[in-house]
Amino acid sequence: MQHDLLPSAVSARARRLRALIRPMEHSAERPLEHRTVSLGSAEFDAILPDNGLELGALHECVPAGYSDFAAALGFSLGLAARIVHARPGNVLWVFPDHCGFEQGRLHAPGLMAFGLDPNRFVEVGVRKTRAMLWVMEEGLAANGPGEGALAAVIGVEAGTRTGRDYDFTASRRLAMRAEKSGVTALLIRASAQTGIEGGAATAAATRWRVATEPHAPEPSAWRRHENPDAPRWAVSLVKSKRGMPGHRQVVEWDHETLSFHMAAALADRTSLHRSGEGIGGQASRPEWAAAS
Amino acid sequence: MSQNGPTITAINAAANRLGLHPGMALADARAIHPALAVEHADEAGDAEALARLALWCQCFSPLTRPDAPDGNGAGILLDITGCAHLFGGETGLIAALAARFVRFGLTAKIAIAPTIGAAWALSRYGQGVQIADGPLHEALAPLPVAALRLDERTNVALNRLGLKRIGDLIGKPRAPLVARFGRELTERLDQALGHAGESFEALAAPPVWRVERRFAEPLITLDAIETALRLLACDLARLLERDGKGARQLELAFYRVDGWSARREVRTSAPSRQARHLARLLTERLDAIEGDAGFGFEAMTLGAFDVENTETRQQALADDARAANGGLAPLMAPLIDRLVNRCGADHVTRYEPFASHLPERSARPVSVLRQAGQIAETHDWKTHLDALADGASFGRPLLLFARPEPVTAMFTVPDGPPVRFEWRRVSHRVTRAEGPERIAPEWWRAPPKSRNDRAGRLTRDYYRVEDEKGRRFWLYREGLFGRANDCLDAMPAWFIHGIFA
Repeated sequence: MQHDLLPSAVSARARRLRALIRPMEHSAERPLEHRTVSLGSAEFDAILPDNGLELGALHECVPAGYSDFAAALGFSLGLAARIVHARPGNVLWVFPDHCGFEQGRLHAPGLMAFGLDPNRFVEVGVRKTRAMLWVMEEGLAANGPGEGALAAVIGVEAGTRTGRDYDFTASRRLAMRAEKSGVTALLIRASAQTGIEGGAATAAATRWRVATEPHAPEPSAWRRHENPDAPRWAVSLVKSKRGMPGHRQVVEWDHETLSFHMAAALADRTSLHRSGEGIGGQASRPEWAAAS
Repeated sequence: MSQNGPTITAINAAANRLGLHPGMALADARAIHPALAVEHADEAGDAEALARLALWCQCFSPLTRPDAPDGNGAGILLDITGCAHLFGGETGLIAALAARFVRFGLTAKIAIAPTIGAAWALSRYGQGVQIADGPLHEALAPLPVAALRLDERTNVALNRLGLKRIGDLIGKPRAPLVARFGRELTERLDQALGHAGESFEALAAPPVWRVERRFAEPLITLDAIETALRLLACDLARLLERDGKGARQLELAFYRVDGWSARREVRTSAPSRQARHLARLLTERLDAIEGDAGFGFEAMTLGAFDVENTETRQQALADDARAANGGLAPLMAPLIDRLVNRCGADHVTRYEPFASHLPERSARPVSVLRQAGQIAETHDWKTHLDALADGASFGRPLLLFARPEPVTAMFTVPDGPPVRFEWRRVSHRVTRAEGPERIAPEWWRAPPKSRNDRAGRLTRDYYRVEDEKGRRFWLYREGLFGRANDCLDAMPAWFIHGIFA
């Protein structure tokens, strides 16, 4: 069973050992409880080590496909919103120019759905991945988190020369600078769509794979005109440096509470459609029953 | 090239000994000496070289300007007011300049005089190196009238009348001279003698604060240049600190031993006088300087332009002010300066709301440097969003295309939501659609001239749609169905304008 691998089920002894190791891993003098930020849902936090997203670390978001870029961006901005919520500060947004033509540019009014203040955004347009990495490094090295300083740096890697520019060394540089300053780095790897692991190994603390997720497969005619506000994504934690990679979760972003919460995955109805089963079949398999 | 065919514009010493002179027809010169080596004149190249040399001369005075070449050769003017003492007086300055020019392989005649006209006359027609410290009219009297910067016609006419020396003109009744030769003659005479003013148009505006360092040995290595740069930055910071100023624009100039100069410029988002910060910004601009060093730099100057007052505030007060407005704090300024210097001012932007309902106009990126020292400025986005989308924070997409992209859509006529659309050759089946949100054109702007120019000139009906995979788009229908004056085609066109998270 996959459930046994989840951190919540790890034995007490392993927990104790981890608690011993953790201070050794981190040289910083900040107390441990200030090193993570809750994602707003206990269930979601549980899949992460220390029950929250690690601050002052590098986190990667990989869109599951070409058209999932907006989803990966939305999820990253959700993470950024949680970080800024806990540690008020500015956000440095590093965006390749060509990506603006392909995927569109960040629209400031749209940021407000994530509880992010456009006043606190600084956008840097770059041409190449190397320049993007330079800007991210500068941002991470600039100064520690605090009111008026940087809280997070969000970068988009969209080059075609993936392996050469953003490699383990580059990620290690980002991660070390992030750890030193306490500024969190979020990297959207829009070019690393090969393989579920998102390419070669990097020094990221976590790597998330994000895809869009429909709210309902086939709304009936009377529900066709209502569009739920909350974005919904299928998120997989494909890598966790100090924890266990989890499996696929369906999360929603709640813009009222500015937090993530888990949503039940939809039932797989393909078999129903194929076999042409009637209403009775649907009634016997309600949506909630299929949640993994 | 004149009426008489090619003429000589410049000669060397050997040609001078043969009796040739500038202005002579080439055919005549060849008749005198058939083996003459001739090169085409490169006027543009000469002018550029002269401008370059004038820039280099800024290591003697910040106010220099090249003097357009004429029949008497090219020149450079330096305003040395208040500079001579740095070189041990005027004699020392002339000696230093002359030594440099000899080293460059240039033949230079140098003169120092109280007026531009007199300096011009003495340098071109005087004997050797001259400093006019006696009465001006005595110094100028023996010079030919051509030394007054007159045109050729006046010059010839004066000579025919026997007025060959400047001394012949001084003290003559002015009215007949003006009547015969126009105002220019007396004006030039007055300017040379200092009776009339003449403005000095320098090559570049002088910096407000300027520090310089001269080196006993020319600097060649990057290490040495960086060290010198740090010292300069400290000097400048001290000056700025003393006067309570902060610099927003800096220019670092290098003067090479062979009469060439290089410049590097940086701008800052907020007035700064931190030596370390300024030095670091400039250091990043030194990429190719080592390759340009050649025989080495003998002097470097650092000038502050665009200087603003900055009061030394207590940190706590600054923190309070920052917390109150919530904008980008002064803490961000050093980072922003470095990003601007590396990526360019246009590539480091902030968002600014604009009072327009058209999405592409409602928010725009502005360079962080556009508003002088106002990176802490904040905008009221909440009110802006209320006005735009009635406060619905999910009413606007996260990603917006600067140019809406056309899609082919199937929709229920006349004004139903899309059922299916194709964008970038991918077909999307719409499972949910919310709308329309109608955004009327801004009629106060000019009407559309052509099909390509109709962006924002037709009524748009926006829909938020979700496809079968959960991807959510912002589509709009342009134009109203069946309204010929509003819709350019019979059928409205569909566009995709944004993507939701």
